[in-house]
Amino acid sequence: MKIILSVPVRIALVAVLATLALTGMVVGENRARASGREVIMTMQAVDPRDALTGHYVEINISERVAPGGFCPQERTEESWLTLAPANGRWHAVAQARTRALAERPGHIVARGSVSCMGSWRNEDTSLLMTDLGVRRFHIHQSEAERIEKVLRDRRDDETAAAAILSVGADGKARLKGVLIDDRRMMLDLY
Amino acid sequence: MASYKDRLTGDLDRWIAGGLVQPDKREAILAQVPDTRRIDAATALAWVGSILLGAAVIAFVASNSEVIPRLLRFGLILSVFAAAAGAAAWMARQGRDAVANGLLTFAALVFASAIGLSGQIFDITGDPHTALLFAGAVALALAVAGEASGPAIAALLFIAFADFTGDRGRVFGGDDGHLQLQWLLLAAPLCVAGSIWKRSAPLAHAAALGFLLAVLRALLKLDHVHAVAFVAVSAGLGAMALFARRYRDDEAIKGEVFQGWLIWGALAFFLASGFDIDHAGWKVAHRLVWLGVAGGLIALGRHDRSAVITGAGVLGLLAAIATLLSDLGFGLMASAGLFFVSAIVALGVGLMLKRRRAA
Repeated sequence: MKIILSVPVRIALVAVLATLALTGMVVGENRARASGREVIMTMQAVDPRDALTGHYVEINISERVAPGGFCPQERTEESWLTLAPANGRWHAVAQARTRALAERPGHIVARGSVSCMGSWRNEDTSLLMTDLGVRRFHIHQSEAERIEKVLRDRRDDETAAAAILSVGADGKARLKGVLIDDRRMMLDLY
Repeated sequence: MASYKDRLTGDLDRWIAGGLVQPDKREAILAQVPDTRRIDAATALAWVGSILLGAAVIAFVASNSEVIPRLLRFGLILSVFAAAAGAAAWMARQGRDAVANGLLTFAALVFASAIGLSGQIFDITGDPHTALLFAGAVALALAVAGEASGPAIAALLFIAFADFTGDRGRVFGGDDGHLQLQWLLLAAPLCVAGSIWKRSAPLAHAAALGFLLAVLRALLKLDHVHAVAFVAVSAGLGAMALFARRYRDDEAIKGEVFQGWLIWGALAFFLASGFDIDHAGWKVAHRLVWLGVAGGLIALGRHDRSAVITGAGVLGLLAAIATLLSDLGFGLMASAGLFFVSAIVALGVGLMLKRRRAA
């Protein structure tokens, strides 16, 4: 039996399917975020004033590395990173082309890339920048102003800001929130 | 520019006055030719208004207002999309196809914004390429479902951006395991067919341009792009233009639109091929062919009374002359002098011909 749908019915069908697809994507992402392993990684104290057009904060995961630490000389293509815990934070300690090579007991593997450069503040350390695909944290204006003040007052304190991430079974890092001056600011649905 | 039916009406009235056609056949002959659809000012303003309304809604939701919780913002943007689609369905049911077309276009734009805003609202990191393809797919689905040209044009725009922002892989074949299809190569011909089906001139223009961009993108994806590839593409587009010329007077098929774009595309690709030629002999041959093609297009444009083709020929000729002067090492002052002398000669010959015809 051949069923011919009228134009209005077809439009309604497409609209419903599109809405369900987008809603499903959002629900799926939030479930993956909730079910992933939480990692807190040091975030460089970037001045949010310049980055707050449209009310967001630039996420720049970076930290100082002592001599002998993990510091690749050239920026790598996206690969598998090994994250290790230390002093309440997680740090990129190795990278590999395959997941199997990156996995280690007690560590977390995530998709990303790293680059390392000399620190202009201290000749004895380098700056390791980790790119896990998380770049922005959208935030209300009032909270943005508070963050700006904290970061300005604690510019030389590496523990002032951190990104709270969720690393899923697929190795993808998703932003859960930020940790500013020991205060969690989480992404909530409400 | 007068449509074919307008020109036929004028010719028919002259033939009837000259006794070549019987007066009682006038209406029957004109009824064979479909009317050209034109958009009046009110409809054009309605289109502009719907787009601006969509922009206002998007900006309001994107403002990240503290008053509106994230879920509610997401629900709001989806509600706008659903309302637009619902209104379009209702208008289609009432037989008001133009309004339904506008509403479906608005719905397609709102949905594309919803994808982007979802990423912002819930801080979902995503691949822009995938997001644009998703938006293009939904817009295309709305176009097919509603038999509307507006969302099809939006779909071409999204898919073109997706193809040009994605840089993984090749056209056909893997690059480190990544295969990326050039979706515009599929979408553009589909929209060409849609423009013929719905007799939509705007969609015909968009589809033709989309096809040229798809060909360019595919060419740029090749490992080594040589002049030969550009010449081959130019020849192919020229052949397609010749085929389209057979339907240039067919208002339904919009042959003139496709012919124009294909000619411009063929000329552009041929011009581009010249940048990769180092051999002096081949360079001379390229310039000579270029001059010949430009002159031929001018002649063809005058024969077909097509300003688009004539314009392509004139521009091609000017570009050929400028390139030749550059090849010969002429400075700007020398080039200006040469152009001036050529202009005087051309104007003088034209004046002489006009006087001879008057005499």
